[in-house]
Amino acid sequence: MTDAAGLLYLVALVGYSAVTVLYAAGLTLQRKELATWAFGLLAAATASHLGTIGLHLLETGRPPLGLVLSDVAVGGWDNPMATMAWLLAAVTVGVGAARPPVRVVGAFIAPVSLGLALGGLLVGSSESAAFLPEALTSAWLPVHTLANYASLSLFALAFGSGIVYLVQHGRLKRRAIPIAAGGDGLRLPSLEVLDRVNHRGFALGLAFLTLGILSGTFWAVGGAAEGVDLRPKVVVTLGLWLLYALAWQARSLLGWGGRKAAWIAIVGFGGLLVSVAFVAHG
Amino acid sequence: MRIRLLGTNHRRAAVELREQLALPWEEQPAVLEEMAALPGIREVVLVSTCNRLEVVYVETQAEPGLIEAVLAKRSGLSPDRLDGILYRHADADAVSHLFRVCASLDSMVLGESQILGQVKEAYRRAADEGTVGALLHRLFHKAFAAAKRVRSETDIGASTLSVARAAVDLADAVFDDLRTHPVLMLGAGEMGELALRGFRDKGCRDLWVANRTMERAAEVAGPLQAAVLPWSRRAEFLETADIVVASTGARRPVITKADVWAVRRARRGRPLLLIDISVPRNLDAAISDLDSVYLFDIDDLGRVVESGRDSRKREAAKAETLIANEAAAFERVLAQVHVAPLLRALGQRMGQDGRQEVERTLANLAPMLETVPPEVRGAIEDALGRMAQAIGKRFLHHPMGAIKALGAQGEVDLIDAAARLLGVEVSLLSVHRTEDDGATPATKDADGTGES
Repeated sequence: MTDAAGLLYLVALVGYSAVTVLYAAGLTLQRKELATWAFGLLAAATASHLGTIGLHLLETGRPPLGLVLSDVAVGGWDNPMATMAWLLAAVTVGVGAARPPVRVVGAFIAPVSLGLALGGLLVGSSESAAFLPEALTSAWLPVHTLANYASLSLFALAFGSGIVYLVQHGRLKRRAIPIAAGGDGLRLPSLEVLDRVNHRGFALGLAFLTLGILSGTFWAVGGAAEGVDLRPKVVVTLGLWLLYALAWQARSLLGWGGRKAAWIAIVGFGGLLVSVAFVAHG
Repeated sequence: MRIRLLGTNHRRAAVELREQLALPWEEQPAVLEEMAALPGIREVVLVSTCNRLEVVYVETQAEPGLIEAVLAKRSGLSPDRLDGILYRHADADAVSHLFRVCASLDSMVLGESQILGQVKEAYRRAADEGTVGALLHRLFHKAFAAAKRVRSETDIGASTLSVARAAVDLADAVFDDLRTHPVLMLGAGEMGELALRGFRDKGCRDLWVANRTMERAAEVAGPLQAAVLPWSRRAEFLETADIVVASTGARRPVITKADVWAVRRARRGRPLLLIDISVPRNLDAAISDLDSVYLFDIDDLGRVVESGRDSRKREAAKAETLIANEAAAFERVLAQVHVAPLLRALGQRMGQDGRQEVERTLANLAPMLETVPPEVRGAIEDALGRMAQAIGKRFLHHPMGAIKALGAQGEVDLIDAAARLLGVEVSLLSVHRTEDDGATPATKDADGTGES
């Protein structure tokens, strides 16, 4: 890693940390200005992290793509965790800049980004980037990796909006909405917006997960890897895919939106994290 | 003779108690009549809204607890329970409280204007029933004038966050684009109409009104470009409506938990927002147990609008000062109202007693005066009459001056004591309606937001 890239990465890390603290303070103290600053800082940290990725691209001539949901451990700067941290933050900034903005989701995504970015720092090693195994030169690998990154990011988005949905639902059920126009406090997005973000995040996440599984299968049966076998991570991933597909169908057919969808997104993201843990441990 | 006020409001009593105490419009004449017939009660005005019940009355040595007994009987609340939620004010405090109520300083939504219209309606109802005399006439007209001053001389109503607006804000917490969500209004009350107008202003175009009488529903729906729904179809329409605003005068729930449960499958998890701005409540509180259903009553809306209260506190402080001055001025007027009839009665009695004494004296002197020429006799009679008047005037000079001074100081109790001491029965009904305070009882407020 060059000094400049390292500096930008450090800036992003500090930014993610500050964003996490600011969002937590904003939610605890019900101060909307803290949440506003947190979102601005998140955008800045994401830009700084993008600078790191850009410098990496210039330096090595390839994007910093590592592996997700795979047991092929890749050392070096292009580790999956760091890029995943950026992707999550970028998706959150995108959703926060959309109409209507859903910025408070960042409160739940920023800690995940921070954790991944720290993890990336720990496992990353730019020196090893030049020594890629032959199996990692397959054309399916970038598709597989990108699809999995996107899937995890979108499920994280659904997870974040699911949590905010439950918070807003709880407020309404307790009849404790204190924020009227002109009032102070942190105004949460409407249930409808949160449910829509949750639904879209979940649906797109499922689509990318499907693409990730298919591309991974092609990669495996194409002979570049060690072939398909039903090791725990494969079983867990396929099981999760099946559950997500059923949940998606339940929404379409039975109207399982709202609170049920929020819980499904939260539990689903938890399952994906378990799956990632299987990746880490083979 | 004293002005008294007893009542309760949204701060003293929860909605469950207020709905028991609420007096439907059609029952009010009977209650007014019953209260006015109580021994010692001279005048009565009854104000019953969603958020308050106020009984303003004039009494002369009435036994305590008479009004409370009527309220207890009507509401079914025990005297102890009632006692715990009622406030009682007399004389200056009663005047001040009524002024504050009319100026919306005691309202759930500070600065809302609907309460003034409601008090005017209540006053007109009492006047029609013949339970308003000169004293309450003056009091209420002064209160209306003071409220008008508050609205014109302060900005308290400029940024009014009404209950109707709060309903729209709540809908914003549930739905993203209100234009796409059908809104059903149950009842054709003023508050519901305002809420519906709020939704229309927010862009809602799918508006429905259901009322027991279709004509009234059409009357409300027309200007808002809403559709009319037959009252009998209200439960099945829950399948379509995403927002329901209930504002009827019904004494029992018009939508039950079973009604909402019955449409849950058809709604496919779509959130349903129910806003009940009626007292008694029109929507079964148990509805709140259902998933994806969000129920708010009038007290909840009050808490929502509470957050917007700070911005109006400065204006409220100005309004409080203005109201205090107006109330003090009325106290002086009230004292003068007591003083004028007393002085007039004293003068009349003095003249009457004097004439009687002169006549008795002339009767005693009659044998002697028979021989006196008529012109001398006339001069004697005149002299005796003037002497009696002069003695009376001299005798009353100091007491009358003192009574006038008491009037200027607003000492109503001392004036009453003086009247009793001098043995004069004062009738305030002789006070003329000398001024129009700018309030027409029938006038309704243009925006009329707030209490229902």
